[in-house]
Amino acid sequence: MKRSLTFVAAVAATAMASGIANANQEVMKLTQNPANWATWGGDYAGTRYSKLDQINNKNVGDLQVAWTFSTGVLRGHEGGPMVIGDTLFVHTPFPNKVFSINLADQSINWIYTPKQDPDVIPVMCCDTVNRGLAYADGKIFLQQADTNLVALDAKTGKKVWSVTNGDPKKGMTNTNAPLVVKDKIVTGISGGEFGVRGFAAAYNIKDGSLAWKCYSMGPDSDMCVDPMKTTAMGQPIGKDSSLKTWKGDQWKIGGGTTWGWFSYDPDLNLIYYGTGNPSTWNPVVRPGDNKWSMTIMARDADTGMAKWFYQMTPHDEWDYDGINEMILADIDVGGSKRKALVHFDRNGFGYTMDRVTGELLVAEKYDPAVNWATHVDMKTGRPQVVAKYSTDQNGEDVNTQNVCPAALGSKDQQPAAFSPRTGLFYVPTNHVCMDYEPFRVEYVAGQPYVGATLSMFPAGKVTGDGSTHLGNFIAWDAGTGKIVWSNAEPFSAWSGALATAGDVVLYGTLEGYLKAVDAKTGKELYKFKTPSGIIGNVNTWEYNGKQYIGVLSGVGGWAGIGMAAGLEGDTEGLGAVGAYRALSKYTQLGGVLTVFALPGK
Amino acid sequence: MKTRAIWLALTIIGLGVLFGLAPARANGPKPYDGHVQCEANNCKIDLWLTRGFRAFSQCQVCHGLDANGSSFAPSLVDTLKEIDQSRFMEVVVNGYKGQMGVMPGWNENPNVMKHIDKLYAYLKARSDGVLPAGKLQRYDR
Ligand code: HEC
Repeated sequence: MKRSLTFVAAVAATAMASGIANANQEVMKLTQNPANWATWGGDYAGTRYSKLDQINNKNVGDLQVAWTFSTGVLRGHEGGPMVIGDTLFVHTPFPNKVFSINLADQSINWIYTPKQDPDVIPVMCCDTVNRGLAYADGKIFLQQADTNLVALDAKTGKKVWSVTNGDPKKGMTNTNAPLVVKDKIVTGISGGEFGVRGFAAAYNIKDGSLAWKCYSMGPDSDMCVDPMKTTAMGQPIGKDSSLKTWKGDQWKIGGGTTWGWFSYDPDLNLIYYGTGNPSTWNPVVRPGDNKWSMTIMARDADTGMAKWFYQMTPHDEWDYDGINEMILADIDVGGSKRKALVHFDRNGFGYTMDRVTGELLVAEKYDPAVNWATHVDMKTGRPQVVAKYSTDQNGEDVNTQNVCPAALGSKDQQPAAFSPRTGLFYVPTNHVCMDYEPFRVEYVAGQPYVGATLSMFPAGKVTGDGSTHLGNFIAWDAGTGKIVWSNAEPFSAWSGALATAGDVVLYGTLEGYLKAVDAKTGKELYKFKTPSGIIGNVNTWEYNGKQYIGVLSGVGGWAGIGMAAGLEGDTEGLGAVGAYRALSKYTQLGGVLTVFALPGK
Repeated sequence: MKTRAIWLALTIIGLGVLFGLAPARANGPKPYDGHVQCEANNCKIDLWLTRGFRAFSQCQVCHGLDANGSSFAPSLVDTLKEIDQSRFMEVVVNGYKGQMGVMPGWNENPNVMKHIDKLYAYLKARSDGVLPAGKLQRYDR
């Protein structure tokens, strides 16, 4: 039975074991069987680790393409395929199609094509990406660009319910993958560049009714906090913790959007996610810490009530959104086993927190180029900002030069992976710096609210080491905060990583290579050029006794935009820099799922 | 030291290209005339044209930080070689849906509308090769 689980059998077995409608138990069971890839992170902890080891560091060099599938959609393909039993589900960027594919013969069971108003396209900053699906209780959940959260019957693709999560006319859209937790589905909101006030919301998976909604900023009642019990750096946050850190009503259009990934710890019953940049990009007009933008949040899954917050970049001056994934792993820190949360922030620091209490354990730079802060003060948790790189201290209409990292961060949304076998985290990174000049803009609802000009260029221009590469793929020790190995990538590494029990780590590149490297040494063991640049996540599953690896290619997103501007002598003959501007010389648009396996049987 | 030398070399190449393109400015009046000053082939701009660059920050997320386009919106450096000012005004004010995607209209956005002439002048200067991508120096302060 194990080997040839049908979708129905897989689901029925888990449903029986868990009694009625405990979707949490059901999804947990599904994720515990490595034949499935049942949630974006492979498991609730977001480790993106698979126990499968048929493909390993000895034989991965023999990998071959088993089958491919075109989504028929151009634009950037983020996220990755979801596999449950004998069915693979895959999504696309706008218009957010969903395909159910029968793994037996790769035929299509059903296609869902939503009708969405194309007017939401221009409201989506940085391409019309979508980061994937969730499954529970016989339903597939899709968070559409137009903010409609829909539940589809997993067997037929018919819409069971749909709920509107926000208003695109006010700049709200969605790109995130939702997460099923118990009998609810948790989602966020995008629109930080449009003055949207971020929130996390949980809807009941039965009928889509709202269970709770908690804002990133504003009055205590809006934020689901208890001023005496919710803590930050071990202290109660106190009354009006957010309002006090904004001028007047600015929090109403304050950003702190929630477009990243959600993780969940079933033992603690806490969900974890991060909030984005405060609006506008001009820090001068919004004095104060702008809480709780740029914050890691731990909330009770049933009520949304906040247990703890940690603000990584108080009063952001560089657009370092705090939305990257939260990886929950029990690791050694300073000689003792900790229930940790590990987070690689856009701001260039890799944070290790105690996920029970929110205690800050480690905060170190995971790209040596990072220069906007010297370090994080472990007592206060505050980054020590370098005056020269402070766009606020330099002021409006002043060009702050050579800030590292650039606005897209040392890492963007592309999720890292954790292998319990090596104890290491595998992180796809950007190695890009910027010039940033804030200026005054007027706010108009539904209109971009940016307020800074920027130019980006390879970090080598700032470090002076002569390098021109724009990304690295690194192995990180989160217990000590040290890079263990680092592979240079000519372009930003913008694809979600996968680690497996076969001691291989896989990721994609912007030119379109799927790469496999040795988990211990980083040595490249295999590469294959897929039809387009990869900004999707590499996932794995087993079907009929065979391990498969699947990844979406389809270049786009912010990764796809020309960003080598601002160089002295910004011309063609600039080697890798010139090449970066012409990523189109390496790859063209088009969404394709490529599935790999070892030859034979 | 070695790196410095490389950057210096690159800078010289860059200036050479600027110099090479300079004659293009000779034929006919340009929307950026009087707002660019080039000394020893190093061009600086005034506040008026800087406002055009700032307005361009609204376009960067789609048309690229350097205006050279992205995977989902065309290069404005190339486009402005083909379209005239009235077409530019028309699409920026009202937007349109084309083969590649949706170009939003900006008629409700004061950050663009107040500076649309400067924005056009800035992009035209980029398109003519008079100005490099990225931040520019000011001559009027
Ligand atoms: C949300 C993304 C987006 C933003 C922001 C955006 N554009 Fe566009 N623009 C597009 C797309 C997509 C097209 C191509 C549409 C097509 O032809 O399919 C386009 C086309 C154009 C064109 C070409 C018109 C032609 O006739 O070929 C011009 C000029 C232009 N945009 C200027 C601007 C300016 C100036 C701004 C900033 C004020 C801007 N755009 C902001 C997406 C955008």
